[in-house]
Amino acid sequence: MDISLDAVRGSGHGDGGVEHGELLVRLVEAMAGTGEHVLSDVRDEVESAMGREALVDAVGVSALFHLMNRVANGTGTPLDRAMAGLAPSVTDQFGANEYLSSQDTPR
Amino acid sequence: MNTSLYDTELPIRSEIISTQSAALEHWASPGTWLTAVERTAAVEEVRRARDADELPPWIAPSTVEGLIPDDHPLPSAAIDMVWRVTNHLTTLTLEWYQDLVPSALEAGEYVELIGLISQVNLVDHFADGLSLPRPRLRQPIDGEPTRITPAAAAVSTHWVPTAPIVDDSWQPVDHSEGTGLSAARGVPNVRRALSLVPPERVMQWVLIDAHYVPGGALGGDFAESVWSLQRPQIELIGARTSAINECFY
Repeated sequence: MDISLDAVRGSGHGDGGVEHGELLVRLVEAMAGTGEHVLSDVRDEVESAMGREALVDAVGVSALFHLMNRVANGTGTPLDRAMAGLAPSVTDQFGANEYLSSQDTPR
Repeated sequence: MNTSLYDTELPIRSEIISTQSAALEHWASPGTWLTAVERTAAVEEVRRARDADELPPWIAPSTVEGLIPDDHPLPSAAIDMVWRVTNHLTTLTLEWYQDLVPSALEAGEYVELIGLISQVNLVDHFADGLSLPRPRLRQPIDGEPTRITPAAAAVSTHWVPTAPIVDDSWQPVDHSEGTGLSAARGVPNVRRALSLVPPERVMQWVLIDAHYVPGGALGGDFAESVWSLQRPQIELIGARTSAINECFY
């Protein structure tokens, strides 16, 4: 499995080595109201390519991260120690070190 | 498929239906620091914030004439916090938190509100994402907040006080052999984030287990499928959502 983080940067950056990755990124962006995607159009594409169960589960996962992100950013949650050592090489790739929430993890 | 929560033909898993239904019941129940009326008002405020014309983050909605009803059950600080966390998640800082707590809100109230705001954002992003009507709120249930603070709660790793937790559901599978990572990583920081208000922490993880991957599978094999998705697809969805919300964690 050859997975890259390019797709995390947004649509137009490929599928990241993930099956239907580019389509799923567009679904996430349409749900969040970013980009110029029309939610109903992207949903139709996901359903056609992956099925209705996958559409519902994909929407559920993104919705769940809207919860997780609010818990983490709203409580000043630092990265776990086991991840902190790996983080710089990963976060550099999509600019996460510029996030205000990166200040919650001691460097 | 017709359900009590969503009237739709979409194949929504029973785990999603049952845990979101539990969340609705939870929101309408007396909390730890807030009454059920206050909790329900916070939920309604999340919805009002999401549907409103966007305000810049430096404008407090409580200062906008005619936006917030005069008889709102929540104090202005709580209303402004709900809007900020809902609509301007990328702008939260320790300084912003310290301007609120403890001068305008108790830490317990703040953590309880974070729990509620987060849960409502999950349920409503799910409904909106599928263009389904958002679940209707329940009537607030009578009763007093418990006002129970966990033993040994203190500010340590997070902005907010956290407490040691015993979490039997956190049993990650050890796939760390040969990776240089330790399997004995302990409970993740995000799992402790709401530990000052245990009912909110528990509700958070009930929802996570149903919508993402069960806690015990978090460290599981990346090649496995969960529900109808491949694990890399799940992680990409989560990572892109977190990038949009500028969540470093």
